[in-house]
Amino acid sequence: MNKSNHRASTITTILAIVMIAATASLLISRTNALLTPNTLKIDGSSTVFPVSEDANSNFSNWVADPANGWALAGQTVNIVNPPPGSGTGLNELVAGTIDMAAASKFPTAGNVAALPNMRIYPFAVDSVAIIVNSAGGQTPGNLITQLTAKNVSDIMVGAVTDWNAFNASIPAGTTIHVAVRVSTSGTADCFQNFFLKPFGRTTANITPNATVETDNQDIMNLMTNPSSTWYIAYVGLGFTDVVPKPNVQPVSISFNGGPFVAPLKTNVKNSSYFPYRYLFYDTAGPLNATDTLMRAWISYVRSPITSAWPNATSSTTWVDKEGYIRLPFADLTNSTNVPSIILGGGSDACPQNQHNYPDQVVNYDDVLYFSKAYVAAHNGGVVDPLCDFNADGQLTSIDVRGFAQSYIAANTA
Amino acid sequence: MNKRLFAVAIVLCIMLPVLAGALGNVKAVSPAVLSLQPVVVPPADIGKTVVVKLHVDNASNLWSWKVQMTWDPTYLRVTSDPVEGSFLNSVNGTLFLVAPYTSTPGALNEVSDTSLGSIGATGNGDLATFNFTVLAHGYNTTAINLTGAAMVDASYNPITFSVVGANFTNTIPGDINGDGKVSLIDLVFLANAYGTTPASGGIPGAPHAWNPACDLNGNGKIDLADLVALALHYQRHL
Repeated sequence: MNKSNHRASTITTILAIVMIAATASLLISRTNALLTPNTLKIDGSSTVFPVSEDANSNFSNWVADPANGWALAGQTVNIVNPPPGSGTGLNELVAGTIDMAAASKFPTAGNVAALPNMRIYPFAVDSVAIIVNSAGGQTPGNLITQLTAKNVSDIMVGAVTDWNAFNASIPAGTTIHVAVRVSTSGTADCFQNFFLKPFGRTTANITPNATVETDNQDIMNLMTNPSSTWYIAYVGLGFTDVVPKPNVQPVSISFNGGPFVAPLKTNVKNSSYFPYRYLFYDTAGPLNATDTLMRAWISYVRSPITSAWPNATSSTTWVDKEGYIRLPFADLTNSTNVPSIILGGGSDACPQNQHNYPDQVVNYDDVLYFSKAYVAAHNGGVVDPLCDFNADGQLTSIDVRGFAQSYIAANTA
Repeated sequence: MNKRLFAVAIVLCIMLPVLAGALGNVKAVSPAVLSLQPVVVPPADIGKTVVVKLHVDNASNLWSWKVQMTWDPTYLRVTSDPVEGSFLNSVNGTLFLVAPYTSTPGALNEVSDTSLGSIGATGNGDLATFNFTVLAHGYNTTAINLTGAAMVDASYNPITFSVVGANFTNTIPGDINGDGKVSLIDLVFLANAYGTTPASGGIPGAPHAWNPACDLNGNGKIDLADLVALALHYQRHL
């Protein structure tokens, strides 16, 4: 190697080191600064999408009105449509091409490694329903209304392909058609955790004959189509639980030899229907004072729609409206670790220093969390959007009352 | 050089007693105590209310506390919401919360109070008041237990403390020996203790000795009021 080649090689090496260091630094020090000023770009879960879309219908007016506490005129939220799924949204957040990810699953260990300061803001609980198409050849006598979790697993991996195996009145040779979501979706992740992994299977074992759909709405479009006879699929609970859908029969499931339980919100709440998952908005880092639009959005989505709250005895949130299970306002922190089953058996991870995910228990830990947030806000700190129940950008006596009401309601048998 | 050393030695000789005195005046910090008061809750008629206070001693920068309580639901029931004491909210506004309790006889699952300011409370004081209704009488005492208690200071660090529960005297008022009836024997016990206070000491039951079981109204002395209480229940039995 001559002298000039040696010098070029040295420069190249130094440049490579500098670029790697700069990239690493960029990843680690990534802030929540909006990609486009005054616009919050959200992408990800198709399960979260209806909530985001609905809440966004009036959000800009809300934050622009000083009476609501924000006075953020000219600020908008851009929700990418169609949504590509949680996994894609999380990858986009890591890549820095969106401001906030909507997710129906925890981030992967890889996501967390790339964005160690990532924060997850939970706002609802959802589940996965198994549905069959009830049109065409199905009659009340041969309609599939019940299956065990093992039956579902066997169907999805192609171990059983004939509906006759589950109902003798269905003619032998009636082929089961399977529809699934892309494997990176949060819905697929939840389905995998509760219907595949208990039987030693993953989404990689799904039958190659399955129809793969990008989002929940695509699944519903397929399953409500009268020509999709003998199809079975899984879908986010919110897509089935609000209003009965034409040609769609939700299937009751028996888990671990137990009774057949219908996929309803009430059964998820009382834990008789096992599958559940959290719905999140994820940010690249902790929310700071300058991240007003992000904080406003998170508290607004969690907030009650009715302006009478907390004086009203009950309230409706965007989450309720879209058929998902609202978390108690006061369920702010976890007393126990995330159950491994909803972390996907190790493939997913909870970000470091992340304690503000709910555990569906409202207790003293939540009291401490709320009170600390209140004190911090009144000492010049950032208002925690999880505690700003009326989404006015402040922690006031209204939020204290809201917390107390929610605490008592959550602890009332 | 020697003069300098000598001067230093003189100064040290003068300062040592002062330093020793100062060190001697440093008192060990007493640990905090969370207690139910009175420790012995006097007997009461069925349907009457007995009052128990949650009290803290030697608190240092107390910012938040929580307790759970259990007792035998045969004898007592909480019939009204616990009331916040003045100790914590004398410093800041507070968030006093009581988890619903009507469906859990014999337990308060969680009562907590948390400051909404950044300064804690220091010293001794009442944290909460609990009103129990007497449901039945028995032969002895029944424990009111403090469980799951926690205290946190204004730096959000846990405070170390000890816990003292209470005992409710579940007998018929005047049933001093706990045999289920108010009789001449009880009158003799009260007569022996009449006029005493805890300072009187002695072996309970002996003449002129303090006998806490005779203090029927829990005022710390055996007097006419106790005698009247016994007289009002004389010959009652379980």
